[in-house]
Amino acid sequence: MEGVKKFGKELFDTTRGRGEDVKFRKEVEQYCKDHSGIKEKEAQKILLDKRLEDLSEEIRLSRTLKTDSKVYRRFFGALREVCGDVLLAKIREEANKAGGSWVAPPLSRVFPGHIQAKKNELKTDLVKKYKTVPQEKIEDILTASPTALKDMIDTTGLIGKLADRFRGDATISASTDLARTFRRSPQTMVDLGKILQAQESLSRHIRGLEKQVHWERTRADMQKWGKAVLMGTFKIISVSLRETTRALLGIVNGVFGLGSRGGKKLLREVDKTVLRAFWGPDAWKEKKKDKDKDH
Amino acid sequence: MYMKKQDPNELEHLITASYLKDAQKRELLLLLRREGQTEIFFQRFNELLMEEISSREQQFTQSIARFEEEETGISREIQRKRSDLEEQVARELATIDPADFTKKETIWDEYYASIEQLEKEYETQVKSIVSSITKSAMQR
Repeated sequence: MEGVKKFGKELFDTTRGRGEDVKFRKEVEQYCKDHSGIKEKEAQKILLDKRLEDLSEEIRLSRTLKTDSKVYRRFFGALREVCGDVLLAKIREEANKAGGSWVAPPLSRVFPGHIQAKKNELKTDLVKKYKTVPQEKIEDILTASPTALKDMIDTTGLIGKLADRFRGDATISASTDLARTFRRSPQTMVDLGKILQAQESLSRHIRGLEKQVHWERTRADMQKWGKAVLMGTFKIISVSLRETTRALLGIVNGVFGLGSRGGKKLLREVDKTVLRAFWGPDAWKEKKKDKDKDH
Repeated sequence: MYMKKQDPNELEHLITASYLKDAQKRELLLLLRREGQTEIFFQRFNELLMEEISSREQQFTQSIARFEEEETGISREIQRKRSDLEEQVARELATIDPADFTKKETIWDEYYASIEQLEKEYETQVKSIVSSITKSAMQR
C-alpha cells in the first residue's frame, strides 16, 4: 500500500513538472541505502551541495546559464524538495525585500570580449531556433542590445558567486537540517532567493530577445504584404484597362473592319495597345521581331 | 467603305467605366459628341488608353519604390528610438544595485514593453503608407 502511495505521488509530481524533485528524492533514498548511518536530511544536504557545485562549475566553465539548463533544473528541483513550497515562497519573499545587511558578492568586470562571446553564444542558439529569420537580422538585434547582454553576464556571474558563497557557508556545513537552517538564517534565504530571481531574470532576457527575433519574421511578412497589396491594386487597374482595350479593338473592328486604309492603320494601332496592355511594354517589339523572322 | 455604327450609349459606358482619368473621360465624351464615331475619335481613345497603360506601369514602379523608401525611413526611425531606449536602460541600471532584481525587473519589463510598442508602431505606420499609396493609385 505504501509503495502504491509513493508511486502515485511520484507520478503526480512528474506530471506537474516536478520530475527533478522526484529524481532528487530517489537519489537521496539511494544515497541513504548506499551509505549506512547517513540520515535523509544529511543526504539531502550532500546532494544539494553537489547540485550547487555542478551549477557553479557550469557557470565557471561556460560563463553561461541557459534558460533550459539541466543543472539549474536539477538544483531547483532539489531545493524545492528540501524546502517545500511554503519555505520556497518565504525564500523568494526574503530576496525581494533584501537590503541593508545583505551584501551581494562583488561582480567581475565585464569586458567587450565577454559581450562578444555572449552575443556569439546567443546567436548560435537563436539561429538554431529561428531558422527562417536571416542570421544578420539576429546579429543586428543582439548588437543593438549590449545592455541586456551585459546584464545577462552579470546575472550569470552573480548566480555562480552566490552558489559558491552558499557552499562555503559555515552554518550550512554544520547544518543537520537544511530547511531549519534556512529558516533561521535570512541571509542564506536571500542568497538562495537571489539565485532564483537571477535565473528568472535571465529567462526574461531570453524571452525579450526571442520576441524581437520572432518579430523580424512579422516585419519581413509586413514588407511582403505591403508589396502584395500594391501589386493587387495595380493588377485590378491593369485588368480593367485590358478589358477596355479589348472592347475598343472589337468596336473598331466592327466599325472599320475590311474598310479604308485609315481604318486598317487604326486597327493596327489599337492592336498594339491591346498587346501592350496584356503583355507589357516589350510585347509589340517581340511580336515585330517574330514577324520579321517569319518574313 | 463598310461602316457599322456602334451604339453610342455603349461607347459612352465603355468610356465612363474605363480606368481612364476623369479629365480624359470628359475629353473623349466631348469628342464623341462633336466628332461622332470617326477615326479621329477612336484614334484619340486609343492614344489615351496607351498613355494610361504606360502611366500606370510607371506609377506601379514608383509606388513600390515609394513603399520601400518609406518603409526604410520608418525602420530607421524605429531603430533610433530603440537606441534611445537602450541608452535609457543602461543609465537606469547604472543607478541601482546589480543584485536588486525587484527594481531590475521593473526596468527590464518596461524596456521590453517599449520595444514591443515600437514594433506595433512600425506595423501601424507600414499599414498606413500602404493604404495611402493604394488610395492615390485608385484615384482616376
